[in-house]
Amino acid sequence: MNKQRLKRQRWLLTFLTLLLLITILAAINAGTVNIPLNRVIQTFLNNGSFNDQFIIFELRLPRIFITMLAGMGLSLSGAILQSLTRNDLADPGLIGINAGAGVAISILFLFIPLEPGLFSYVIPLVGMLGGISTAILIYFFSYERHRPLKPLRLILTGVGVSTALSGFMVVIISSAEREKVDFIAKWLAGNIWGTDWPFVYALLPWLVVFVPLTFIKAQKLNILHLSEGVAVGLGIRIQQERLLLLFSAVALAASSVAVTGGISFIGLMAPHIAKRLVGQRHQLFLPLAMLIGAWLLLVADTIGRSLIATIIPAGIIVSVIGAPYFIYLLMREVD
Amino acid sequence: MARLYTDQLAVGYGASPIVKDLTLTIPDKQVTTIIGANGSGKSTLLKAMTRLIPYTSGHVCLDGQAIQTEPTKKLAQKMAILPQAPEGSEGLTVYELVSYGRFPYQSALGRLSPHDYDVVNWALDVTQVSAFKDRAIDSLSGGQRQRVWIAMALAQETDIIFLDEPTTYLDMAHQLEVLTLLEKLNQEEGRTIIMVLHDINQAARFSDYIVALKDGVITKTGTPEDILTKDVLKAVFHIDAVIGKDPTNNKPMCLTYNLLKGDN
Repeated sequence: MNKQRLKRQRWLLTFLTLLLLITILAAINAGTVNIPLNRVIQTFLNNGSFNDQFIIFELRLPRIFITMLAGMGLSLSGAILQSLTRNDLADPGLIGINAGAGVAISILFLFIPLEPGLFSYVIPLVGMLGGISTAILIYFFSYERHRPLKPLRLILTGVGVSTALSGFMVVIISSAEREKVDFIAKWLAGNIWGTDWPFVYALLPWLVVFVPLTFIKAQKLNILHLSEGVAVGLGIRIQQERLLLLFSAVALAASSVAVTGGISFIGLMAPHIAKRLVGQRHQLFLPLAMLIGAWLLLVADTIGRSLIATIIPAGIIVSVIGAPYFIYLLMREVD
Repeated sequence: MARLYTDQLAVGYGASPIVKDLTLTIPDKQVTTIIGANGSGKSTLLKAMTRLIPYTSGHVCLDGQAIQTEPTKKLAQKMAILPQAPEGSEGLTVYELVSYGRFPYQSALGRLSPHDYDVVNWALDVTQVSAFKDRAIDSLSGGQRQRVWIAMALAQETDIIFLDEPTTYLDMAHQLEVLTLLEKLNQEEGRTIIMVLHDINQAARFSDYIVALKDGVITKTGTPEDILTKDVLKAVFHIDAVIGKDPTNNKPMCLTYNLLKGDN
């Protein structure tokens, strides 16, 4: 293939993996209690104090894992949506997947009593149900008889549905108890809340299924990103492939935001940066996008945990970086 | 028996279909051009013949089988299509895009076999784009870009190639470049070429067979000499044409024309 790009991709993969490892160390180290590096190493060598062990293995590591997994899921989801819609502005948060998952989780949280142990496993499933229902709704609204599905129409409908769901959310919340509203408000802000190991185990299977599925479809994503006429001419079954990939995108995003809260812009930024680095070929840019997504969300959460005494939700930090990036992309589109 | 034909083909829904009861045989290993005024259904006919849009009744048959019943990937090994103003090449290098032409032959993972590499390199050479095969397509001129898209269609290794207005948005030199490339592919490789063209003089110069379409119905089919006549052009384009001969190649050409007055 293109040797230059392949070489650059290999180099960037190595670089990002190292960067991610360093950031993980910093993330273990940072927080309300600072654990110096030598104590971190001691703890990993099984010589740490009980206190350090508890903080590292029970509090920080699961949170780091959740953050990275969600970052990967969101960026992969964004990459799929951008290719299917042939639009760099597509993001699972933007087209209403987050809002859909949010509504479903809020309803579950407010009206259906659940045991705490079961909660962590049910929540990705419910978030996913909400996300999928939203996706079906969007698909239904943007569908025209006898016409091929227009990707831009899908995005605009998504933005509309997302707004409607946010309104619905306000209605649900306004009738709820105060402390429960507090949780939902934090969820909406994108505060990584599922920070125990069970949440890692709950999220991991979704990625284990849908990440390889997406990679297997890399060449099809390449073809789907071309004009519809070209794609049909090359012999792809366009409707089936689109539906399947749309489903993966929704599953990846909804299961991720279920445990991290409503995080936008990761799915927008990570694939876009990766494409700028190695081009549009999915075999090359998808792995990079996942690492970039994991790194961005981890950095955002680590900053949010260590900047001031109270935790700033990662979703807000991401938005502070992501919103200007979005505007930059939008302005480039207009030119 | 020709490989490709349509039989009483109709496209479009409602009271006035875009293409009506159209029966047409495409001669093998020749250049066929569909001409017609705006809205005559020429692009629609091309799209229906290549399964880009569904047809409502009748048939499009290739090798004795209706194209609607053939697996789409299989069909992609027999016919390639270059739509009008194709998009989606941003962020790709020339080589990457042309290699996508091998999709109909690939397994899920998209690895290229030695034969795939040979075909891609041949397609790059014959369209004269190998010199910049590692460059980003975004950085190319319109004419170069169109040649890259044609290279992708060629990499599909099909006997039949459809092109929908392949010269749109190109300047005069680049238009001729694209058309002579197609002529060469037809003459040297024996590829069957079916295209839609706007310019009747280009159609006359480069086609063996011309299909003149009006309101979704064939007005006349035949050689350039049959089609470039006062009567046919009057019926198809509603113009009063002055027909002469191209001094360089003796093909008929429309020297000038006026709008028809009075009777409409």
